[in-house]
Amino acid sequence: MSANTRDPYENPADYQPKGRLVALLLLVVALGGAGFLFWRTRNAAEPTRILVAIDLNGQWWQGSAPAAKASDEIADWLRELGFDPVRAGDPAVTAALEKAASPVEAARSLKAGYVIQAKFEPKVIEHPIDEGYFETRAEGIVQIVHVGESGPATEIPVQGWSGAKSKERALEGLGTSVALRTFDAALVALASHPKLEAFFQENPRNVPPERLQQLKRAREFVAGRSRALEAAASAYKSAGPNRIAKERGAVEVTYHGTMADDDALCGAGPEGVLVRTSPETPFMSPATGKLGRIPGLEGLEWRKPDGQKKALWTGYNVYGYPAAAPEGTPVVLVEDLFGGAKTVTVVGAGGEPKRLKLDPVHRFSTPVVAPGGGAVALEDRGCYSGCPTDLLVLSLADGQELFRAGPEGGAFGGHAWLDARRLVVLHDPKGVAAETEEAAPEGQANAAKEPAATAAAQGPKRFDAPRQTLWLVDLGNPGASPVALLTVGEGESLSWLRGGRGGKRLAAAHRGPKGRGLAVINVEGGNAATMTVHDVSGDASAPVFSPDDQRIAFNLVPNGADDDEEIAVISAAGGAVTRLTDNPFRDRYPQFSHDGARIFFESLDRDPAFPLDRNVSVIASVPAAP
Amino acid sequence: MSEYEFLYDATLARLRTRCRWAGPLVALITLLPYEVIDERPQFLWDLAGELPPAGLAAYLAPAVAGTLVFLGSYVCRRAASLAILVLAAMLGATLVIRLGADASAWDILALPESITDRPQWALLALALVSAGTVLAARPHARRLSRFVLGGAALLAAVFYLWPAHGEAPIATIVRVLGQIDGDLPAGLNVGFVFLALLAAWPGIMALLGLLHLRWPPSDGHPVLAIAAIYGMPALLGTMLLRGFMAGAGVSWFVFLGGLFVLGGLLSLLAAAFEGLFEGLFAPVPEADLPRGLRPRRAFGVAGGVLAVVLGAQAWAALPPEKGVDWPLQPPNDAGDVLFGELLPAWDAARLSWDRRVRQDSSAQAMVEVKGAARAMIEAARPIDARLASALESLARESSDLGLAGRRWNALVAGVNEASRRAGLPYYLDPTAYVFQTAEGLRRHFRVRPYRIDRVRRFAADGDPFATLHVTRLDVPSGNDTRLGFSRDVQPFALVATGEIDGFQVDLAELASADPPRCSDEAPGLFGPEGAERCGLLLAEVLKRAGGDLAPALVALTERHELQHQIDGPHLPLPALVLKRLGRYNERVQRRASRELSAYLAEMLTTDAPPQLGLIHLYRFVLTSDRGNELEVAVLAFSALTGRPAWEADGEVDRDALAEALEELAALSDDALRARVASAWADLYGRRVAAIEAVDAAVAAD
Repeated sequence: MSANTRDPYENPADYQPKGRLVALLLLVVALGGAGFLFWRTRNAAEPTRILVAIDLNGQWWQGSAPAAKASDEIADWLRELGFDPVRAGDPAVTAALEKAASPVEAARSLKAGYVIQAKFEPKVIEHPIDEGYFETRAEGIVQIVHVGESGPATEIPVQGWSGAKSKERALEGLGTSVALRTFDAALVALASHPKLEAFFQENPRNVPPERLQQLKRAREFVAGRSRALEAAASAYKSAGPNRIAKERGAVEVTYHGTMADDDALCGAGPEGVLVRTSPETPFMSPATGKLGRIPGLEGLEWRKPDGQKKALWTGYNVYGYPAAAPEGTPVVLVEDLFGGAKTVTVVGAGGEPKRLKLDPVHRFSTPVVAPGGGAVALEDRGCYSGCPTDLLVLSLADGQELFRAGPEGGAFGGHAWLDARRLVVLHDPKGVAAETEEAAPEGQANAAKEPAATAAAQGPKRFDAPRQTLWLVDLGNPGASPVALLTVGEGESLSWLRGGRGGKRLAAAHRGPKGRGLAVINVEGGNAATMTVHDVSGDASAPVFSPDDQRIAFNLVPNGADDDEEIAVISAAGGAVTRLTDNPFRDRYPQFSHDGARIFFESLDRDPAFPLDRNVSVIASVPAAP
Repeated sequence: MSEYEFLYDATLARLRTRCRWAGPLVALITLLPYEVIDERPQFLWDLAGELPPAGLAAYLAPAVAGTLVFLGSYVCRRAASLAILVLAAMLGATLVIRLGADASAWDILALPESITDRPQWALLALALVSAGTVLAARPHARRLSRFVLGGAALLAAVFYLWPAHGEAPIATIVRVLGQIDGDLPAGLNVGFVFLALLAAWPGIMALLGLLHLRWPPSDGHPVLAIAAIYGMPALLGTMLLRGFMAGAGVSWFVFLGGLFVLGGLLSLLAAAFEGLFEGLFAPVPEADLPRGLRPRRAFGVAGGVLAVVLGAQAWAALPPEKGVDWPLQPPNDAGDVLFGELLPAWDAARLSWDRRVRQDSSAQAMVEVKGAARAMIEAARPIDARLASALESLARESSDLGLAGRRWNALVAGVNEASRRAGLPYYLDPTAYVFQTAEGLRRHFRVRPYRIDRVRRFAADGDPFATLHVTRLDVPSGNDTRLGFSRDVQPFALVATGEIDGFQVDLAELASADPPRCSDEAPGLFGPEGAERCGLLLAEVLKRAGGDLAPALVALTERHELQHQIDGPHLPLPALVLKRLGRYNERVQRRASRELSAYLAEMLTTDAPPQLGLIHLYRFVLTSDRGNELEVAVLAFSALTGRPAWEADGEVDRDALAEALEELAALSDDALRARVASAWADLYGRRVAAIEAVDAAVAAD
């Protein structure tokens, strides 16, 4: 090789590409980045994948059957709508949950985007019915947690209840009850969560089409739910002004509840009026896709005119109308234990219920509490229907029977207290009551319609009179026989017997050959009574005295208007009837406020949101002296 | 470089190249679906959990062999040693597959026939033709090529003359060509010709190869060598075109893959033979060869490895031992509750969970399974700790969604073993139910609990066997139609005495009817001719038995099931079965053959009148118009009389069956048994095993 010719292979470094290290580093970074993205994609949580972890007597992976029931139902409904709930029965899922410290941690490993979790501590009440009956209740906070976020979860309070003959079945039923409410709450929370809300907008943008298709049913359901609930809310909202607009009476009616209520007016006292509530919440059924209602537990509360409420009791079902002592306390109610038994329960001033009597067969009704709250008189029918109805007086201190009398071939038609010891009772020897008291639903109305004289009287009759008679029973003199105070005339009958506070006056609905009216009965001495019948230009029922016994408020069905039921008031001495309400609704069962200034009543109409299958009953009031 | 070296290098290069592309193709056999059902590919790994170790080894053998071949191409420096590696790998894989197939046949699931059934002789012949042709082109190897080509022709002759599935391939070719008819559509005739050509291809190649004995090829890449390797895949590929036009589904792609594998295998074998023979018999001087193993040493190494591998496989493939020692305690309430109530409750809960878990939430189902499992295990603890432990394993592992049948059987066998060791009179039978789901067929595993009333041990020609007499615990008798059952993988057969009691009542009622009859079917339905004779025969048998057929039925069933245990899965296929059922697949043939063996053998028991076995068979004639049981009856009567009981067109000849019954019913017990023994020996080519009771039945008090 010449000196001027360079060996091309002399310096191999000349042939090595420059910047190899930089290129290598870039390649490593690119590969690393790609790998990371791939790993991230593979392990990313699925936004529609949901873990349901409801702790109800433990978690389902810990063996809790009610928790499993609740989780299964929620998961099945979510799946119906297109979500991808974690399959609880999958052993891999169980293993992940058992290993993790919390459901949220498990959800990460299961690639779930959300966790629906809650903890319920069920309360189990055993009722001594037959082989046993169990009532369960639970309240808790449902949390909807997005797995990727560290912020607070959406929290919704939920409660549920159930009953069954075994504890296990009752808890399972509680699982279903809780599941329904949890699902409703959770779905709304999911649909409005920032990660998912785009899918539920009316015109979704920038969302993957396959995801839209997957959640199509969910979108339809949420939209339908929203429309239905809004329509219901709108109906309820406009119902109030509608009612007011339709009121033709001279006085202003004030409503003390919502237009969705189904309340019953049971009495009055210093703490307001005693109201039985039967709450129902509109709810979109995931099974049918239609608007339905979830019933809540029934309750008793004192409600003041200004809207303040004081809860007294909650339970499965109140049979008929509870009653309060004239002083306001105690309150006596007949409970229906899931159709398995009836109880006579007294609730004291402190709110602690005490069951005085429980019977799987007998049906107790129309309790009336004596002044002073020492006793309660009520009817006791020995079976569902067709049995004679006894008159029963129980001590409210210990539930002892203070007095019991059979119908002796006839029928009792109402009872009232003159004072703490003396009880007046209507008895018709022919056994057919003139009027049916509508004061209680479900069979209470059948109480008086018994076959005439089917039961042979056992022993000498205590209520021996030719026609319906008002009898006085003196509980202070246990051995004494009832005293006949007043026997109605031929063709006459009395019902809806009510007593005044003074112990000297009674009011009743009257029917006679000349028509219907309102009877005022003055009790004189202790062994006689005189009756005056006032013409009220219509049919009177459910009379109630003012606190001073000078006026009587009552249901009035004006002559010629059989479908119309209004509230009217009349002086106890008689005279003109003042109609307080005049509207197309059924107004009934008036009660004077404790101070006598207002008259409260129930106002019935079709439910504005469910007009075909539900009535509402809203507590209303008018000034007692217009 | 000498001509030898040049050609030797060329051989080595060719072999290496083929190893590097054909080796992976061979390994890919493991990845191809072995079957396509409803366009769903069935992969071998879906079966992996079901296979015994030997079966698993067989399944993996192609992958291992292909990998070894691929790696060997980089390691081996000499053509001969690489060829020895290739041939040893292929031979080893073939033998491992064969042994594994034999082993898995005893187990609950056999290896698919598409894996085990390969026309090895034909493939070897084609490979030898190609190798021989290439060698013939080389002057130094011309003499060698004569032997190779001659060997190819010999292998081809063995392939065409050796019967497989009842017919020698040469007969198949003749039969196919015989179907060519001018009256048939041209397309059909072309199809027959094509089929015949396909079947004859190895033979044609071998014959053409013999031409080169006289006229060696002048070209280093002889056409015949290429045709021998790629001709068959090409011919099969023409069928692909037709399939493609009909719509290429999964099957099409599987078939295409198979063609590539076939081509790869042939080219690999051809190159290996070429390298081996040239290296052994026309060698290049040692000094001119690259460093590497000498052929002798390579043989030694390959042979040693093969011996170890095949030895291990042979050991793993040993058939299961038969016979069992099961001392029995009396049944007790706790055991009855555990096996009769708690276990079935757990089983039912598990089935319910298993059927739901893949679709919906099923937390409740899982809670129920766990609760039932707890109750079951807690009830077992006071009975026996090992039993409780086995049940715990069963409960725990059965929650695996991917549970395979073999694992299920092993778990249940664990419970049975614990029961046996504790002397408990309880047996659990594993079973599987198939359900149709939206995703296709799915198997769900269950157990059936039995109480063991008796254990009997036997020796059949000196080999131990056993039977368990059992009564079902979870359902009343009459719900299970099996009088007895046997599994190859189990060391005993089972006699369902509860079912037999119910069956004998039915038979007694039929025999006591006026006129007596053998079945409930209307007399005129199937084979009225023999119905009357069968009824009379049953009445006679009942009278001989004193009105109680149960002991005879138990004896018959026991002998029947014992024969299944003795026969195993490798019972030879009799010519009569092939003749009658030639158009069916081998699985159907084997099943019929095994039942034929058992139904004949049961008549040999001296504890029951053999006529009861005839009645058993003839009932199938009276109650079926098709099916395995009818075929077994037809074969049995044909074998016993020496006359086929079917017509030329294959239809069952019920008149002949009635005559056969008449003839056999007239024989005395000993004469009939002798006829049965003789027929059995004619069918299976050996004497039927003689059964001896080893000890008195061990009964639970």
